[in-house]
Amino acid sequence: MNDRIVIVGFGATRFTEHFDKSYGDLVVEAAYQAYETSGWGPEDIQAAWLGTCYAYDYGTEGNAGTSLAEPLGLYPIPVTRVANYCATGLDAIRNAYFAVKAGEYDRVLVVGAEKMRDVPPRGSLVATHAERGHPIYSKGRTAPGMFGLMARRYFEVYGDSKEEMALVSVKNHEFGSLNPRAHHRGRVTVEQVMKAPMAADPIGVLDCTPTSDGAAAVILTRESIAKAEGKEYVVIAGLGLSVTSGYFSAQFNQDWDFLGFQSTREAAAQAYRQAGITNPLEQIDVAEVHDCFTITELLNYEDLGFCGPGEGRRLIREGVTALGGALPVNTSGGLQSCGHPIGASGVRMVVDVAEQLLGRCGQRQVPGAHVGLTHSLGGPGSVCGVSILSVPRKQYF
Amino acid sequence: MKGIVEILPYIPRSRIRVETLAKAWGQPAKPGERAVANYDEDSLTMAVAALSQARDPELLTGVHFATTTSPVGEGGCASMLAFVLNLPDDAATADFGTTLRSGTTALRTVFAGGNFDYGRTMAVVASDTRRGQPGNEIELQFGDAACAVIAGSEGVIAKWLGSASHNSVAPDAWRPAGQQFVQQADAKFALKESFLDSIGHAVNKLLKDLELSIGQIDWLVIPGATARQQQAAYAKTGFSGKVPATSRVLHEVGNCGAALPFLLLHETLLQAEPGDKVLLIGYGAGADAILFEVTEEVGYFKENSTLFRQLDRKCMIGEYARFLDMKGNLERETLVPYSTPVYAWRERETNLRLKAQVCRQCGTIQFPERRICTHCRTRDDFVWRSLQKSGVLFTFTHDYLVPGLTVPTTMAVVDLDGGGRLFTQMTDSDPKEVRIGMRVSLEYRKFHEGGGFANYFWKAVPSVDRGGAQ
Repeated sequence: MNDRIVIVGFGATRFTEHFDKSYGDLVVEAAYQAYETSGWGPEDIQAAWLGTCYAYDYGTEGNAGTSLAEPLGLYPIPVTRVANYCATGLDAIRNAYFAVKAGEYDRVLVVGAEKMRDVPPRGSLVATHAERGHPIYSKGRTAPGMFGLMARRYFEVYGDSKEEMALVSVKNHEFGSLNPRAHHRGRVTVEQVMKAPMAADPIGVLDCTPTSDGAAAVILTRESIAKAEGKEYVVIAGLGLSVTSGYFSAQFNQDWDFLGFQSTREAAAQAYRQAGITNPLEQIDVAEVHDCFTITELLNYEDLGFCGPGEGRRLIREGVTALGGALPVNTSGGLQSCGHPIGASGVRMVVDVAEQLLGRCGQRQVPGAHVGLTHSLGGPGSVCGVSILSVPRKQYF
Repeated sequence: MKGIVEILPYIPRSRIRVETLAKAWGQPAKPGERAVANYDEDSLTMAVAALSQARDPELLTGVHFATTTSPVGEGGCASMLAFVLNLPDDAATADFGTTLRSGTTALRTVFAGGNFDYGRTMAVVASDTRRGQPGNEIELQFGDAACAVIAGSEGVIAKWLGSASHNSVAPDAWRPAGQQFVQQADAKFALKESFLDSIGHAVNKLLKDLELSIGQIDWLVIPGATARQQQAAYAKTGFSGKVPATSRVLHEVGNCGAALPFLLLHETLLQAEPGDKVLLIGYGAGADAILFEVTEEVGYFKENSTLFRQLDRKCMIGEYARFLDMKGNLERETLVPYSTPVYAWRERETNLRLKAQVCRQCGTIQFPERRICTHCRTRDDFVWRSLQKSGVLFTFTHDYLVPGLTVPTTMAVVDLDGGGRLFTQMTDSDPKEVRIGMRVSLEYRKFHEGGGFANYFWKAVPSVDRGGAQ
C-alpha cells in the first residue's frame, strides 16, 4: 500500500456569473475537462464525490450524490456529497483520496460546484446568515463581518494594516488579470482598494471575494496506474483537515485571540508531517490560500508558518508572495479575482496548483515549481483543509 | 409601614427635537425633545431596562406590567419580565393595560393586597411607546419611556397613606383594536368632562376617606402633558401647595403614557422634603389618586437617582424620516429569520436570562450551553451562573451588509466582567465612538420576529455610567 495517490485529471469552468448555465452545465464542463486531461471517460470512473456547501439555499441542486450523477449520467456507481463550509471542495478530495488509498477504487472523480448567482449576492451568503441558522447567536454576522472583527483586532495588536490588506488585493488582481478563468480580470491600485466603500469596517469591497458560479473537477488514481499508462500526474503528498470550533458559537470562544486560526495551524501540521515539510517558506514553491478577504491572506501566511505572528504584513510588503518572490501565493488570482463558488474553490485551488506544478501557467508560471500547497478555510475559521501537492523534480529540470 | 422603596426610570437614548417634528409639517418651531424607542426597543425591553436597576432583585415577589402598547395582543409580558429578571417561578405576575392609568391602577392593587413581610417587595413597571398619526398635533407630544416603582416595607422613601379612584366614560384619547394611532376627542371637551372631572372626583374621594383637606397636600403630581392641564387641575382641586420646577421629563421625553405618572412622581420626589405629602394622580378612563408621605429615606433616593443622567445620555435623530421609520410608520423590507417558539423556550435560561455553565472540573465558563466541556471534555457537570451584564469591547466591526433597519450594524465581541465572552450586536452607539477597550453594558433588546414572535436577546450598549466611550 505504499502506492501514492495522484491526480491525473484536471478541470475547471471559468468562475463568473454563469447566468446562461445551470448547476448541471457547470458540473458537466468541469468533469469533461477532467476526463479529457486524464484520457479516461465516465466508463472508467468507479466512484465519485461531490462538494457543494449549500443546497436549497440559493439553488436546488447539490444536496446529494444525485446532483452529480444526474448531469453526468454516472449511474449506478456510488456518489457521495460532502459539505464542510468553505473547506467543502478540499474535503471532497480528501474523502476520495482515502477511498483510493484504502484500495477500494482505482479511478475516482471529485467535482466541486456551487451555483450562487441565480440570486443576487444578498440572496445567497448574506441571506444564509441573516435569515437562516441559529435564531439569535451570531445574528448580524456576515462573512466579511467575521473577518472584520479579526482585522480590527490585528490592527489593534500589530498596527494599522489597511495598506497591507490593499497590497494583497493588488497582487491577486494582477495575477487574476493573467488568468482567463478568473472572474475579475481587471487590476486594482492600492488607492482604489483603500478608498473602496466599506463592507465590514475595516474590510472594503475591494478586500472581498466576489460572488460567483463555478465548478472544478479532479480525477484521482494510484501512482502505479498513472505511471503504467504514461500519464502526467501530480502527487498528493499531504492532506490535513481540522475542525476547531462550532459555527454559531465561534466568536464566543474566550481563548481565541482573533489573530489567526487554530484550524489552519492543525491542518497544516498534519499535511506538513505527511509531506515532510519542515520549513514551508523554503520547501513550498507555490500556494493557493483562502483569501476570501485580504486580511485572511495575511493571517494565513502566519498560520501556515510562512512567517511568524504579525509578520504577514512584512511578507506582502517585501513581495515574498508575489511572482519572483520566495513563495508566490494565489497565482490564479485567488478568491479575490476568481470568486468563491464555495464547494468549487477547494477543488479549483488543487487544479490551479497542479497546473503550476505541470508548468502550464504561461505568464503566471512560477519557474521550476515542484511543491505546492492549497488551503481552504471554512465557516468562521472553524474548519480548515490543507493539501501538499508535488511532482518529481527531475521531470521539469 | 408600606410604601415606595425605589422608582427606576428608563429613558431611551434616541431623541428627536420637537422642532424637527414640527418643521416636517410646516409647523412653527417649538422647544423640547422627545424620547424615541430604538428599532430594537418595545414596551417590554424598556420595562426590563427599568426594573434591571433594582437594588435587591432577589427580594421581588412579583411584578405587574402596565402598558397601552403591549408588544403582544395575547401572550403575557409580566411573565416574561419576571423570567428575564430571575424572579421565582411562583412570582405574582399581572398584566395591566388599555388605559393610561394602568400603572397607577397596578400600584393601587399592590398596596391594597401586597405582602411586604420580611422585606419582600413587589414591582410595578409602566412602559409605553404610543404613536400619533404623522402630522397630527399629538405626534409632537408623545415620547417613549418606562418607569418601575418598587413597593415594600423596608427602606420606604414615600409611605403609602391611601388610594382612591374614579371611573369615567367621557372620552379623551383612545385607540381602536388593530389600529396604530391614538385618536383624541375635542380638546376642550376632554379637558373639562374627562380630565378635570375625573381628577376632581378621585382627589375628593381620597381626601374624604383620609379625612384630609387639599390644603394639607404639599405636591400634586398631575400627568398632564401641558402646563395648562396642570394649572387647570390645580384650580379644579383647589391645590395651593408646592409647585414643581419645570419638568425635564415633559420637556425632554414627552407624554410617555402609562409611564408618565411614575416619572413625574420621581421628579417630584427629587424636590420633596421628608414629611411632605405627595398626591399622585393617574389618569385615563377615570383617575387614580394615591397619597404618599415622604420619609427621611428620600435623601438616599435623591443621591442615587439616575433620571437626569439618563436624560443627558442621548443619541439625536436628525431626520424626520428616520423618526417615522423608528416609529414603524414606513414600509420596510422585513427579515423573517428562522426561529421557532420551541427552540426559543428550550434556550430560555441562556438567551433570556443570560446564564452560562461553569465546568465543575476545570472552571471553564461556557456560553452557549453545551453538554461536554469545551476545555476538559467533562460531560454534564456544570453549575449555572448568571453572566454579568457589563464588560469590555474586545473587538468589533461596522458591517454594512447586514440587512436590517440600521446601517451599519456594529457587531461586538465583549469580554464580560467576571468571565465569559459574548458576541452580539451593538445598539444605541455612534460608530465613530466605538473603540476596542471601551466599556459596554448589556441590554435586553428585540432581535427580530422570526417564527411569528418577538425574539429577544442581549445587545451591547456603550456604558456611560462607568466611563463609556473614551
